[in-house]
Amino acid sequence: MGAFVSFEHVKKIYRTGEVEIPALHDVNFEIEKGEFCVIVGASGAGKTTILNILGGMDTLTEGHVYLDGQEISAYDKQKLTTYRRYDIGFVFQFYNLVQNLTALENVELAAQICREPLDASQVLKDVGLGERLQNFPAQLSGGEQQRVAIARALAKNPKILLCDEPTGALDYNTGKAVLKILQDTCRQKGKTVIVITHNQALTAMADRVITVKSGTVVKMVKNENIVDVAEIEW
Amino acid sequence: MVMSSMLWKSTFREIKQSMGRFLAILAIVALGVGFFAGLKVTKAAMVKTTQAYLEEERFYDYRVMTTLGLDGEEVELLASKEGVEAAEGAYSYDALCLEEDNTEVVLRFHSLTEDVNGVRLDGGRMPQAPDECLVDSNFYGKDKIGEKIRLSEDNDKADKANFAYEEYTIVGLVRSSLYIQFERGNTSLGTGRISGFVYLLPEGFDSDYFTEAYVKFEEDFDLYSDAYEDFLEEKEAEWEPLMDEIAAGRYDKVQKLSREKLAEARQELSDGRAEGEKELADARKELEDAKQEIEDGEKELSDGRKELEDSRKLLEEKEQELADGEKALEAQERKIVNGEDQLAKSTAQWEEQNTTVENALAELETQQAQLDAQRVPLESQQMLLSTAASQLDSSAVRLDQKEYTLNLKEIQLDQKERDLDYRIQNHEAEKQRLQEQLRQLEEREGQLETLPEEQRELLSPWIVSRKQEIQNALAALEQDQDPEQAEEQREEIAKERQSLEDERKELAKEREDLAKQKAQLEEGGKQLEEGLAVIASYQAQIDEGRKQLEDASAQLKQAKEVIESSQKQLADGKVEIGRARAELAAGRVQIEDGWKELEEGEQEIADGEAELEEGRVQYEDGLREYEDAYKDFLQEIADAEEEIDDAERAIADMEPAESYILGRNTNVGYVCFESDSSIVDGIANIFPVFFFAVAALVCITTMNRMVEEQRTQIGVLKALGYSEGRIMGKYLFYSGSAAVIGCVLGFFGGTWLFPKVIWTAYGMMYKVDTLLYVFDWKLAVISLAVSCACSIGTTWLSCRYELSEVAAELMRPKAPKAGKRVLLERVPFIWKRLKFLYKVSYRNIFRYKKRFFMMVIGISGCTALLVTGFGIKDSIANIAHDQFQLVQTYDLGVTFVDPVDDALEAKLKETMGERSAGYVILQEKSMDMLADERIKSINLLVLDENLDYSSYLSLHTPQGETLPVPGRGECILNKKLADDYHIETGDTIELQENNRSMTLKVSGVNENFIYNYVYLTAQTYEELMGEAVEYKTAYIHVAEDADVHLLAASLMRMEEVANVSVNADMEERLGSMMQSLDLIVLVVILCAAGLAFIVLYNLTNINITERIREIATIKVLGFYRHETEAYVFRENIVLTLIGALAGLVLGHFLHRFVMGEIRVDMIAFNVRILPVSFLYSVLLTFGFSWFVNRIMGKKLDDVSMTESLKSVD
Repeated sequence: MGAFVSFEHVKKIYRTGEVEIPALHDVNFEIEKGEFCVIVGASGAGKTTILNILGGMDTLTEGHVYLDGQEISAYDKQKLTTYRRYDIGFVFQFYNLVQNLTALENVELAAQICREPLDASQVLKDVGLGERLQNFPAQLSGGEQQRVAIARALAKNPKILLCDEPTGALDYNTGKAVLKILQDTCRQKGKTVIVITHNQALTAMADRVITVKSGTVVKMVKNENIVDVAEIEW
Repeated sequence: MVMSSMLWKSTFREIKQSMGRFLAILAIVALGVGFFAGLKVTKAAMVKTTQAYLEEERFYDYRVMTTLGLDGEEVELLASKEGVEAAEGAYSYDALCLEEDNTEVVLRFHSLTEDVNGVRLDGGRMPQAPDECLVDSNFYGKDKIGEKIRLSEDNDKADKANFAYEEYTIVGLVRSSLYIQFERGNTSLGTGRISGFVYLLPEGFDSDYFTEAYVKFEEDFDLYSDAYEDFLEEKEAEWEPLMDEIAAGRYDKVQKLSREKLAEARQELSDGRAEGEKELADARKELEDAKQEIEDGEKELSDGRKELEDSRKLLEEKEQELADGEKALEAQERKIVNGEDQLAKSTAQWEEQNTTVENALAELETQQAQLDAQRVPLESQQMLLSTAASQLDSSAVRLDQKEYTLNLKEIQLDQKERDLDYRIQNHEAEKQRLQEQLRQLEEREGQLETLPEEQRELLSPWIVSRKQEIQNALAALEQDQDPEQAEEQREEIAKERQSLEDERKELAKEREDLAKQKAQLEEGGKQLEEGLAVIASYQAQIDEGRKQLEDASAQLKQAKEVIESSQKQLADGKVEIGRARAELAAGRVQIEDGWKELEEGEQEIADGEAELEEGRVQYEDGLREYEDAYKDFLQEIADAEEEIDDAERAIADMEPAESYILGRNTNVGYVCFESDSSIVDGIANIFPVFFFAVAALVCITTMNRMVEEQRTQIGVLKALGYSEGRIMGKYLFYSGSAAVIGCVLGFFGGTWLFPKVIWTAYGMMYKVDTLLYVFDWKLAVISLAVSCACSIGTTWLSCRYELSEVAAELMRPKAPKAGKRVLLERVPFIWKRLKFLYKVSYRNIFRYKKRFFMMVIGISGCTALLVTGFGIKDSIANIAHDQFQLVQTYDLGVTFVDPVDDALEAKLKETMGERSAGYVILQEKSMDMLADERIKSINLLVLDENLDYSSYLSLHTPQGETLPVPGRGECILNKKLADDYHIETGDTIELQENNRSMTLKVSGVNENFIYNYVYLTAQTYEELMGEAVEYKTAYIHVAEDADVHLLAASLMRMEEVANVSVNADMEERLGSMMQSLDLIVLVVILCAAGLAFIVLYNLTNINITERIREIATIKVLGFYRHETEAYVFRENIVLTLIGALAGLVLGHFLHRFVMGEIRVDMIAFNVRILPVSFLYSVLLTFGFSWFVNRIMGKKLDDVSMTESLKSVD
C-alpha cells in the first residue's frame, strides 16, 4: 500500500425512506503524500460525497478507504470523531466560523483539542492576518474569513487538508490569494492538500487531478506541467 | 385568512417537522390556561356544589320563632302563605350528655324535618323509634353506632323535661345542611361550646310547642346573589307583620290555653279532694279488718303449741326404750369380745405346741441323718475286710501250687541225673561198632582196584559217602563223649537243686506272712462288728422318739378341731348382734323424724308468730301512713290551691310574645363559606399572569426563530406573488392552532384538576357533597382570547418586520449577527481565566436578550412556584406543633361540672398524686366580640391574678417578647383576631353575652395559631360583668415519668370532671389533618416541573436549530459527544442558576402573597419558609434542567455534520 490516500471500489448509496439514491460506484484512486490534488467534477457528480467519506463525516456502503495505512472505512463513530480530531483539517466553502469568537479564538477552538497544535497566532500571521487577531468574523471580509478557516485547519497540524470549494464564495482575486496560501502550504510545509472544485481551471496548479463524473472517477492524471497560481485564469 | 392548498400542505408539514416547537407553544398555553381557568373556576365550582347540595336538602330561607314557641296550627298558617314551598315546625334544645365512657359533652338536639333542612346519612340508618338518634358525623365515628347517649344529671330539670327519654341509641351518622362548616355554635351550657348535633324523630321530644319553624320558599336563587337579597327584602315586608300577628295570636292562645288549664286544674282539685276523702275512708276500713285478722291468728297459734307439747312427750318415751335395747346389745357384744379373746389365746397356745412338736420331729430327722452318715463308712470297711480275706485265701492256694511245682522239679532233676549216667555207658559201645564198620569199608575200598572199571566207578562214590557218614558219626560221638561236658551238666543239676531249695525256703516264709495277715484280718472284723452294734442301739432310740412325736401330733389335731368350732359360734353371735343393731337404728330414725316433725311444727308456730308480728307492724305502719296521708292530703289541697292562685297571677302577668325572622345569614356555615370560597379567587389573579407572560415569551422567541429560519422561503413566496396576508397566515395558523389546542386542553384539565384538589383540601373544614364541575363559557372565551393574544399576536409582531422587507432582500441570506463583546470581557481578570468554550457560552447568554429573559423568567417562575409550594407546607404543617409547644404548653385541660372549690381541689390533688407536675385553674368560656361592625365568637380565658400561668400559657408577641398580665379593664387578644378586625394595642373591644356586655382596652397582641382567644383577669371580669368568675377549668402539667393518657383516664373517672382534653392528642389529630396539604404542594411541584420543562425545552430547541451549522462544524472539528453537549448546554446551566436565584427572591414574595390570600377562620398561619425548602426548590429546578438536557442531548447527537457544508440560507 504505497499510496498515502487510497479509495478502492468505493460505493455509496443514500437511503431516504423507500428511495435509494446511488451517489458513488466503483470509485478508485490514490494520492501520494505531499501532493496537491484537485478533485474536479460537475455539480452532483459525487465530489462532496468523496470529501465526506474521506473527511470521516459519512460512512460508505461498500469498498475500502485508507489513509496513511489505516482503514478509515472500518472506523466506528467514536473512532471517526478521533480521526477528524487529529488527522483532518477542513476548509469549508462558507468558512463556518463561530460568530461569537474572534479570529484568534476560532483558531484556538480547533487547536485546543489537538495533540500537537501549532501556535494559533503564528498560523494566523502565516496566512497574513497578523493584524486582525481580535476581530470577530463579522468584521472580516470573505477572503479573510476563509483565511481564518484555513488557519483553523492548519493549526490542528493534520495529516491532510480537505478543502470544499474554498473559492466558491469568493471573488476572483481573493480566491486566487486563498489558493496561493493552499499551494504554499503544500509546497513549503509538505502537507497533503485535497481541493474539491467544479472549476476546471484549478487543475493546472495540481500535482494530481482526479476527474469525477456521474458517481465515479473517470480520469486520474499526474500533472507534469504545474502552473503557479498567479498564472491561472478563469 | 385564505391560504392556498399548497400553503396548507407546507404548514402541516412544518408542524410535523417541528413538533417539539409546536408542542412547546401548546403546552405553555395549556399550563397558563389550566392555571387561570382552574383557579378561577374553583370558587364557582365550590359554590355550585354547595348550592346544589343546599337546594337538594331544601336549606331554609327563614327560620321563624316567637318567645312563646309555635304550634302546629300556626306552622300550617305559615305553610299556606303564597310562595311558600314548605314550612315545618321543629324542636331544638341543647343538653349536657354523657357518652358511654362518661365523657360529658354539650350536644344540640334537633328534630328531623321532612321537607326542609335535609340530613344525609354518612353511615348507619335513619331512626325508626323515638329513642333512636342520628349524630354528627364530624364529631363521631362509625364505631359509635349502637352506643347510647345519656342525658346528664347536671341538666336543668326543666330542660330535661323537653326530652321524652333519658337515653338515645345512636343508629346513624349524618351531615346536615344546617352545619356545612365545622363550627357548631355556642350555648349557655357546660363549656359554652357545642361539640356536635343530634337529630331525633319529633316524637323523641316531649314539648307542647315547636321552638322554631323553618320556611322554604318555592323560588331558588344563586347562593349569595343580589337577587336573593332583594327577594328576601321583599318578603320581609310581608312576613314581619305576619309574624307579629302570629305572635299576638300566640299570646292569646297561650292565655286561653292557660286559663282553660287553670279551670281544669280547679275541677281536678275538687275531684281530687272528694276522691281523696273516699280513699281515706276505705283505708280506715281496711285497717280495722286487719286488726281482726291479727287476733284470729293469735288463737290458732296457741292451739298448735299444745299439740306440739304432747308429741314431744311421746317421743321422749320412745327414746328411753331405744336406750335400754342398746344397753343389752352392748352386754352381748362384750361377751363375744371376751370369747374372741380366749379363742385367740388358745389358738396361740396351740400354735406354740404345734411348733414344738414340729421342731422335735425336725431334730429327730437330723439325728437319723447323722446316724446314717456314720453307718456308711462302717459298712464300706466291712466290705474291704471281706475282700482282703478272699485275697488271703487265693494267696494260700498259689503257695500250694508253688510247692507242687518245686516237688515236680526235684523229680525231673533226679531223672536227668540218671539219664546222664546211662548215656556215658552207651557211648563206648557205639564207638567200637562204628570203628568196625569203618575198617570193613576200608577193606572193601582196597578190593575195588581189582574189580572192572564199570563197577569201580559205581562203588567208589558210595564208599566215600559211607565213610564220611561214619566218620561224622564218630566225630559226634567223640564230642558227646566229652567228660567235661558231663561234669558241667552234673554241676548244673546241683545248682538247680540248690535254687529249688531256696524257693522252698521262701515259700515257707510266705506261708508264715499269710498266716500273720489272716490273724490281723480277723481282729479288724471283730472291731467292725462292735461299731455296728452301737449304731443299731442308736437307731432303736430314734425310732422310739418318733413314735412319741406322732402321738403328740394326733393330740394337737384334736385341739384344732375344738378351736374351729368355737370360732364359728362366735361369728354366729356377731351376725345376730348386727341384726339387732339395724333394728335399733331404724327405731332411731323414726324417733328423729318425729323430732323433725316436732321442730317443723315449732318453726311453723314461730313463723306464724313472726307473721303475726309483721301484720301487727304493718297494721301500725298503715295506721301511721293513713295519718300522714291524711295530713298530706290536707297540705296538698292547700298547695294546689296556692299553685292555682300563682298560675292565675302568672297568666295575668304574661308578657306579649315577640317574634323573630332569621335568614340564612345567621347560619355560620352559610356565611363562612362565602368568605372561605373567595380565597382561591385571590390567588387566581397572580399565577396565571405569570404563566401567560411566559407563554407570550415562548411564542415570540419560537415564532421569531421560525420566521428567521424561513426568510428565504418567505422571500420566494413573496417573489412568487403571494400576498403578505397569506404568507403571514401560515405562521399565524401555526402558533394559533397550537394555542387553541393548548387552550382547550388546559381549560378542561385545569377546570377539572384545581377544583378537585382544592375541594379535597377544603374537606378539612366543610362537609358538603362531592364536587360538581363548572363550565364557565365566559372564562373559556377569555382564556381563548388571551391564548390567541399570546400566540397569534406575538406571531404577528414577529412576522410584520420580516414581511415588510422586499423579496430580494429576504432571499439573500441575513447577515449573521455580529459577535459582540459582553460586559464580562471588560473584566480581564475573570475573562482571561475562562476557557473560550465558556466564552462562547457567556457571549451567547448575554447576546440574546429575549432568550435570556424568557429563560430567567421561566426558570425563576419554576423555582418560585416550588418555594411557594414548600413554603405553604412549612407555614401550615407545624401549626398544631407550634400551638401546643409554644403557646398552650400545658399537657391536659380538665373541665369540671361545677366551679372548683377547696374540696374539689383536694380531691383533684389526691387523684393526680405524684403524676402531676402542677396545675392552675381558670375560667374558659365562649363570648361574642363586637368589632369592625361584625360579630365574632371568641374564647374568653379569665385568669386568676394571684396565679402564675406562665408555664401553662405563654403569652408573647409574635416577636417573642413576653406580655404582662393585663391590668384592670384591659385584655390581651391574639394576633389573628387583631389582624382580621384591625385592632391594635390601645384600641377597645366589646364582648357580649346574652344581654350583658363589657368594653375592654387591648393591652397587647399575642402569638397564637389555633382558635381565637381573649385573655383578661378575674378582677376585670367581675367588675365589668357583675358576676362571679366560675373557675371550671384546670390546666395540668404531667410529671415527666407519668403517662398522660393514664392520668387523663383517672381524671375522667372523677364524677366532678366533665371533660378532659389531651393536648398531645389534639396536636396529632390536627397534624394528620394538615396532611391533605401535601396534595396541593404536589400539584404546585408538578406545575413547576411543567413550566421548567417547557421553557428549557423550547429554548434549548431554538438554540440548537439556530446554531445547527455551528454545532455541525464543531462536530466536524472532532468534538466528542460530551464536549459538544457541554458546549451547548453550558448556557442552560448558567441560565438555570441565574433563574433559580431570581426565583428564590420571587418565591419569597409569591409565598407572602399567597399566604395573605389564604384566610382560614380560627387558624393563624406561621408564615415562613424553611431554609431547606429553598434548597429543595433549587435542587428540583436543577433536576428538571438536567432532565431536559438529557432529552435534548439525543437531539444534539442527531445533528448531521453535512449541515456544515450547506450554504447559509
